[in-house]
Formats: sequence, C-alpha cells, structure tokens
Amino acid sequence: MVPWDRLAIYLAVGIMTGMETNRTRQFKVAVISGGFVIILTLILMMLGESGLRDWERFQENYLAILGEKVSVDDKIRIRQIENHDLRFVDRCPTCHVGLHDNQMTDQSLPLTAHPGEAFSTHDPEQYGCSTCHGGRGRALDIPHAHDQAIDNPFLRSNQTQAYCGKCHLTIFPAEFSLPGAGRLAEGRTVFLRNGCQGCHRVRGVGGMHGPELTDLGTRTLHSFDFRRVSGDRSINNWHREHLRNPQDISTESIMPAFHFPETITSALTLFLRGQFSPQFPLQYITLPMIREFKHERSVISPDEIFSRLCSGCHGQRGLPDSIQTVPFSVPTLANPDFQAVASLDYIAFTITEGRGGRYMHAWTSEVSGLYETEIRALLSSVRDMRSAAFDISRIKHQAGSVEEGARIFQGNCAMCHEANEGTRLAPNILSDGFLSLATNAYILANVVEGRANTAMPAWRTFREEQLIHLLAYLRSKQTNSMRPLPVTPMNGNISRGDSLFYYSCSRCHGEKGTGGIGPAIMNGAFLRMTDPGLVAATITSGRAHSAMFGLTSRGIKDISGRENDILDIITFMYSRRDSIPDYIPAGMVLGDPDRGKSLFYRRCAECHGQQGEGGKGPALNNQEFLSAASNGYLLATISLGRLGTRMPSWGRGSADYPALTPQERQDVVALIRQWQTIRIKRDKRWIK
Amino acid sequence: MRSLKTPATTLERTRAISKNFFLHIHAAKLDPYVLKPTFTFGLGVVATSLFLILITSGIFLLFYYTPSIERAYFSILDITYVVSGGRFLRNLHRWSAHGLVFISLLHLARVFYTGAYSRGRGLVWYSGMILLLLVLSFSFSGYLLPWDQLAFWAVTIASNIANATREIGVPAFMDPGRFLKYLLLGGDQVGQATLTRFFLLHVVFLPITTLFMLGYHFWRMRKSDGLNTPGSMSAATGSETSGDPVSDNMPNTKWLSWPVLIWAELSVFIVTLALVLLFAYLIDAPLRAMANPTIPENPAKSPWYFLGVQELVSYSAFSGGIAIPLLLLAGLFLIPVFDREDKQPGTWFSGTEGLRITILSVLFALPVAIGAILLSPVTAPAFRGQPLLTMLLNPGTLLTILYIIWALLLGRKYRSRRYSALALFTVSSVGFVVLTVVGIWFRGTDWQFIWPWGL
Repeated sequence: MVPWDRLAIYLAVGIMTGMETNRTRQFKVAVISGGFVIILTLILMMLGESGLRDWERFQENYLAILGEKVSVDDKIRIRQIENHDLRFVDRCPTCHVGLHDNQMTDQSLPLTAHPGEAFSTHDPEQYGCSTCHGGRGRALDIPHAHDQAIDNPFLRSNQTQAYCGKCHLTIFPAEFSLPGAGRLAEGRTVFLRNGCQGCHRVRGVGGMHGPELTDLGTRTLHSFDFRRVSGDRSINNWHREHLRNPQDISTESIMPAFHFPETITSALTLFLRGQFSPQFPLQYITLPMIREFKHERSVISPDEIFSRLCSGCHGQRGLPDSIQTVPFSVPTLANPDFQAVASLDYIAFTITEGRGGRYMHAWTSEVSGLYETEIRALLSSVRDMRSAAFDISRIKHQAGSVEEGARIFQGNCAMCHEANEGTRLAPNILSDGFLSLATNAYILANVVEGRANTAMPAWRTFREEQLIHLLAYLRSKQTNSMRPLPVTPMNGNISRGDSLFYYSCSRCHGEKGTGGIGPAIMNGAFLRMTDPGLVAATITSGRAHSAMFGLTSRGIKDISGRENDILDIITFMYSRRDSIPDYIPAGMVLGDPDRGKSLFYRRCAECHGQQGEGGKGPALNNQEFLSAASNGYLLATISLGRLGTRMPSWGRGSADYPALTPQERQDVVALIRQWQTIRIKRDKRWIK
Repeated sequence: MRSLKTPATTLERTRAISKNFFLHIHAAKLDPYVLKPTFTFGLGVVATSLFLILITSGIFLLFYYTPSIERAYFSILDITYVVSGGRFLRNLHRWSAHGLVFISLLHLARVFYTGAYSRGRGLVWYSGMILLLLVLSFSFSGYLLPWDQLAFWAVTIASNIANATREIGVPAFMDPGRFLKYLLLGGDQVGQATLTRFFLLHVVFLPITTLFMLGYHFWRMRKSDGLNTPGSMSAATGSETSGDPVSDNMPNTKWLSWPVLIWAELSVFIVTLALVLLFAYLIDAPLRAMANPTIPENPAKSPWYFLGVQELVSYSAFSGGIAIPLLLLAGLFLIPVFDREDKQPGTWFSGTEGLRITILSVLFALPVAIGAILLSPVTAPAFRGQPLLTMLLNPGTLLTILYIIWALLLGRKYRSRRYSALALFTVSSVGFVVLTVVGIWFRGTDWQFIWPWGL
C-alpha cells in the first residue's frame, strides 16, 4: 500500500521548504554581498584617515632633506597653532613643515621657508596662518585647506595683501604705507582717485547710490549674484566683470564702465576684498583703526574730498575729458564759463542741498559722513578758486591799447552792457557818471569778481594785458576827470534809512535791494567792494542816460536838506552788510513769460525739454536748482553759454544759434522763474 | 546551560521567535507573500534601519557637538577636520537623515497603493502618519544644528511660512501660526534660544517620542496580524482581526519565521547600511559659512522636502504655506476614514483597473502641474497688492482645485472611493514632486526661474 496521502504531505512540505530555503538563500546572499561592501568602505575610510596622507609624505621629505644637513630628532606628527581670540586653529605647519626653518629657503612649496619679512612683525604663533592667508586651518588635505568658497577664503600669494585690511587702516589716512602691501596701496590709489567713494560709502563717508563697501571683504562666494557673469565662478572674476561693465551684472546700475587695464582691475579687486570691519579683539588692531571706527578718523583735505567723492561723476579735477560716461548729464566744474557765473552761494547751496530727484544728493554730514569742518574747508577752497590768477593791485596805471580794449569789450561786454533797445540787462558803464567815480581798482574788482545776484559774471580768465586794454578803452570814453568820493560817516538813522530805501530805491533796485531794473545793491559782496562815498556820490548825481536819477538831476539845486537822507540810506545799507538772507535772492523778473515760452520752445526745448525737464541739457525746472540760481545766474549763463558743452552763447550769437536780444533773454528767464514752486531756505551753517 | 545549537524542529523554531526579547514582536509563522521583494520593497525595514543608524551616528556626534551659537559651527569644523573618522560620521548622519525622509515618503506611498491601511489597520496608518511628522521634525530640527548660512536661513524661511496665518488677519493672540513660529524660534529671530530648543527636540524629545511611536506602530501591526497580503482575505475568517496575539491559525501563514524572516530583515539592514556607508564615503555633507543674520542667502532655500511647500509659498504665503499643506495632511490622515472598501488589499493599485487609473492620473497631473507653475509669472504681478485675490487665484490653489475635481469625477465614474483615493493620491504626489523638483533645481536668485546647472 503506497501511502499516497503521506507522500503528498511530504511533497507539499518539501516544496514549501524548498521555496523557503530559496528565499533564505537569496537573503543570505544579499547579506554577504552587503557585508563585503561595508567592510570595503570601512577599510577605504580608515586608510584615508591614516598612513597615506599627503602631509605625512611631506614631513618625511622634510626630515630626509633636513637629515642631510643636520642630525634630526623629530617625528611625524600633526603640528598646530591655536589662538581663540583670533578664532583660528591652524594646522598649516603640518604640510608646510619648513615654515620657520631658515635652512629650507632653497626648497619649493610646500617645504620652503616663509618668504619675506612678515614673520618679523607678525609672530605666527600669535597670528597664525589663516588670518593672513585665509583657508580652513583645521583641514589637512589640500582642497579643503585652500578652500576659496568658505567664509575666510584662501587667497593666492599675489592677493594675500588684501587681508592686511583686517587690522590695518586702508581708507582715511592721507598716506598709506605698509611694507609688503604695494598692490594694496595701488588699488587704494585707484579707488580714491576715481571717485568711487562718491557713490559707495566706506567707513561712514561717501554717497548712497551704490552699495556700501565697508565689509566687502567678508562677503562669501554665495552672496554674489553670478546669473549674468561669464567666466569662472569666483569672487575675483565677479569683480573683474563688474568693473568691466556694471550694467551687465546689475541691470539698473548707473555705475560707469571704467576701462581699466587688467593690472589696475586686479589691484582694485584686491583692495575691495581687503575691506573689513574689525573682527578681532581690540589688542590686535591698530589704534588709528579703532579711532576710525569710533568716528575719530583723520580729516581729509578739500582736494582729497573732491578726488574721493566728486571726481567719479564730475571728472578728475573737474575736467571734461576725464568724466566717465555716466548716464546723466553732469556739469564740468572746471569749465571757465561755469566758474564765471557760479557764485559761492550757488555752489554752496548745491553742495549742501543737492538736486532733488537727480543723482546729486546733499553732501551734509548726516548724509555723507563728512565732518562740518571738512565741508566748510571745501566751501572755502571753492571760494578761493574764484579769486584772480594774479594780484590785480599790480595793474595800476599801465597804458593799454584802446583798439584792443574795444575788441575785448565788443566780444564780451557788449552783449549786456550795450543795448540797443528796451530794458538793459546791465548798467551803462561807458557813462561819465560811472567812470568819473570808479577807480581802476573798483572796475577791476567788478570785472574779476563779478556782482553777486546780478548777471555780471566773474571774468577770472582775463589775462593781465587784456584787463589793461579794457581799462584803456573804458577810460577813453570818459570825458570828465575823476571826482573825489565824498567822505561818508556812518552815523545816520538806520530805521529812517530803511523806510527811505523802501520808498525811494526799492522800486528799481528790488525789494530789499536784491535787484531789478537797477543792480542788486543790498548784498555783502557789493557793499564790501564799494566805497560808501561812491554810493553817496551816485545817489547825489545819478547816472546819466539811465533810470538812476539822483538828486541833482531832478533839478534840486540845494541838497543840503537832503544830505541827512543820503546818510541815513547809506548807514542803513552798510548796517546790513553782514546779514545773510534766508533764501538766495532771485531778483526781480523783468521779462514776459509768454514771450519767453515761445522763445524757449523754439530755441531751448531741444536740449532742455519742453517743460524744462532736461535731456541733453540739465533740468531747469528742478526746485533746488531754482532756489540756488538767481535770475542773474540764469541771465549770465544764457548770455555766456558754456564753452566746450552744447550750450551756445546766446549773447554773442553764432551761425547756428543767432543771438538773443537782452529783452529776449529776460523773457526766457521769466519763464524759467515761473517753474519755481517752492523756495528752499538755505542752511546758514555753511555761510559765514 | 541551554544548548545554543541551531533550532531545527518546528517547536524549536517557534520558540526561537516567541521566547526572545528582541524577536518576539514577530509572529512565529508568516505568509510567504510578505517576503516578495516587489510587494513591500522592504521599505519599512529600510526606514527602521536608517533610524537605528541615525541613532548610533548621532550618539557619536554628540560627543563633540556643542549647541551654542558661538561654538556650534566650530564644533562641526572640529568634527569634520580634526576628529578621526569625524567627517565620515557626519556624512553618514546627514545622508541617513535625508534617506530616512525619502524612504518614509516612499513607504507611505507603498502602504497606500497596496491598500495596507484597510481591513481594520487604520490605527497603524495613523501611527505611521505621526511617525512621518516626527521624521520631518527630526530632520528639520537637525538641519539647524550646524549653524551655518544654509541652516540659519532655511529655518528662518520655514518659520516664516508658519507665520503666514497673519495674511488672513487673525488677531495676534489667536494666531496659531504666529504661536508656532514663536514656539519654534524662542524669539523674533533664529538665535541661541532656537538652537537650544532645536537641540532639545532633536536629541531628547523626538527620539523618545519616535521610539514610543515606532513601538506602537509595530505592536499595532502585529495586533492586526501582520502585513495586509492578498491572500489574507478569506471567507473563513472574514475581514476582522482574530485578536489572537499568536495568530498561527491564519490560512496563509505557511512558513516559520525562523530563520527566513531574520535573514530577510538582516539583509535589508545590511544593504541599507552598505549603501549609506558608501554614500558617506564618497560625498561630503555641505557646510557653508558660519550663520550671519545680516547677510541673507539668496536664494534662501528650506530643506528639499519643504521646497515644494516653499514653491507654493512663492505664489501665496497663506494658501501655499498653511492652507494647502494642512489640507494635504488632513487628507492623508483621513484616508482610512474615507476609503472603507477594502478593495483587494495587498495588491498594488488594487488591481489592473486601479493601475489604469493611476497611470491616467499621472498623465493628467504632470502637464497640469507644469502648466500651473509656468502660469506663476503671469498671476503674480496681476494680483499684486490684493491679498485676497492672490490667496484665492494662484497656481497652487488652481492645482488643488483641479486635482480635487479630477478625483471626484473619477470616483463618480467608477463608483468607488478607493479609486477616487487612488486618483487623488497620485495626482497630489505628482504635483508635489513637480513642485519640489522645480523648487530644488529650477529656482535661483530672487526665486527667479533658472535652468539647472547653468545650462
């Protein structure tokens, strides 16, 4: 009897057990192969940690080389320097074994001794290696030790100087001399001479258009935007591309493209990467740097200020050919025509108030970080630039050529001082009434310094001989001899003089004497320049062929009763010599703005925009500009033009741009003045 | 002394399992189907293995790590460069952590697609969901500990996502998002308080909670008679658990656990360990510059598993950061409540019909997700300055609505909640994967679109 049921059961169990055994075997295979991989990986890992490392090889070489020279008793070990104040753990000497060893100067890297004199001033035991060289001090393999993508990136030997900036000053002292930091000094010079600080604030001083650069050296690779940078992804390359063409990197940038050669770019990059705020405890940082961070930095001179802050936009020394192509118009400050018409008031106002809505911002202490003394020194130096290039008192009674003088007069003065019709822009100076009272010195002062708040520019660029000829020509028009100036004691009644001035003089000379049909006479510049006797004589006798009618010209023979009046007026005027008005006086408007509008559209709008909003020429409807510029400034600029720019001289006229008559010029100025909606008070801190 | 020879008889083999402290969580007998690699892919065991590896490597790292903001970064540097084997251990810990998050998600998908939550195993599902949240919290809390730029800004971003409830104008004292942010950060900003409490979470609270929850997860599974296999549904026993702790009377338990189950689990553990050790040897864990609160990273990206959410947040902070993720979590949690059909448990996709629905859902979800993302440069400027519109009409909500409609339509067509759930899970997963991929590789500075790897 075959036990079929038992067989069936055995078969079933057998099959099941067989399948079970198969599964088990599959898993056993997986365990064994997995185990192999584990053991292999662990062995590789352990080998990597010991026995085959680069640094051990280097140290063996070192001991071998040294052993040829002297007997050695040293073993292969990790060598380490630590300093927790400076937060480093540097194991660089593990590979760079020969660092301190003078016998290794003939070797190559990594065994060579440290080059240069750095160790004499920076003890490596105290300062370590990664403080000056960067890199990961703890790492013992080359790619990690020399890592350039970390927060203290390793710098190649030609850039190591950048890290001097961690402890040493780089921005404010006028002189910079660190031994061994030649390229850093080079980069610094480039930075300071090209006006970079004018847009990029560093250590508290500078403009605000670009990002602040104070801690640029601490920025890691990840914080730079490489989306539009071609070439390799490194900080050096980012700076190179950015300097080459800033708009490529950040599309809304207004930074001009400085076309520096490669050596300059790399020096500048090195300097930028050397910008640090103090990171270490104070005993490691130089005392001047600590003071600088406490805002006790050294003072910078006006020349330095111009070079650091202004030259980026206004050109080095204000010269037109050195202006980088910024995407907006800037005046060239060294332009003689600009210098002629821009008074100290105008310049001071522009510097301290800026131009709202444009890139020129107010350079006060709060905004720019300059000290008040520095700003005052800057304004003084501007004033000093306005004096003549020579001593005009030397021109006494030298004879000049009348024909030459006539030519000079015709080419420069006649566009305002000789009018054919209507309202004159300027008094008749060829009249006896003026010439018999005005000494040569007085005439020259007027010519060279100009008249504040009027359209009379400061003709600084005339040479000595030109002035001599001009004087000769003027004197040739004089018919009577010089009259002596009356002595004028200043003891009149000031308040009576005030009301007399108001009733008698202000109709022509403007309310508060700021100018109208007659010139502006109540400003400090005029009053300092003019002898009170001249004023008294002018009031007495008037000016022939002008609206200044004086007392005698009205047929008043006996002026003895009126002498007190004159005294009062003069005393009043001179008592106000040192007062500074709150607003820059614009003066009266003598033109017709409607006529001016059609003139403007035809002649000016092409460059200055239909509403004076600017374009190729500067904006004329800017409120800061209109608060800074008197009507005289506008008239003078229009009449003179700006040589070297596209502003023609509308007083002289040319083939392309025929001259405007004085009345037409007054009309245009009337239109421009209409665009002023607010008057900005000036900050009296800056006006002495 | 008891003999240590290999168990041979059935009784010995049974006792080897049931009388062993570590092994008695297993049943003495098992259904051979559970050992099919293509059934579970061993994902649960992989996850547990990774967890054990993490605990071990974590304990070693604890010897050297200091949770102070002045020292944390430098202690990591010491571990990496100074401690022997430190770099390797750190890499091991990091890659196991990423692996655990990834495997947990895969395990979730497997359990769902094989319908393993059905037949009364709802509690296993819930405990598993809680474990998922614990794993994510683990990874998130550990992410901050190196205190480098990556860590700092990732946590800043994520905590601000939690704070997005302010968009709906909830008053501050009732605002749960704000509460969560301050609970996480211990202040307004990531700082020492944050590091301390993240360290506490990572090393004390979460391990204890996870171990307990894991224990419950295993116990609950055993109480439900092990894994949900196709053959375990039979007319004889019905669909309820027998309640018998030693369920050797189930019809499909044909094999003895000893030794095959032990070999199976051991092999999964060894292979996992081998792979993760290889990874740790070959690839270094990232470490950026030390955390600097004044210099934000750009783009500041949260860890990869949150990047899908961050992408959604870039469309709308509230709907993308709070509404949709909460919806997603609620949906996941409530699957066993929604689907009570017990349709072919243990079979992938519940059969060929289900497979077809899954494939269709993938084909639907992929272009819709990509299209919605490409729509984002259009909708963002259109609704700028109008928070309510931005919240309601952005690519994230659009995707959500379309996906829900798809699932409802399918459910109605096939008249099956299981198929509806299949569809919704599939489309949500595809959408989530697409968003995460975009967040990882296709977003650069200022969260603008870029081609990955500088193409």
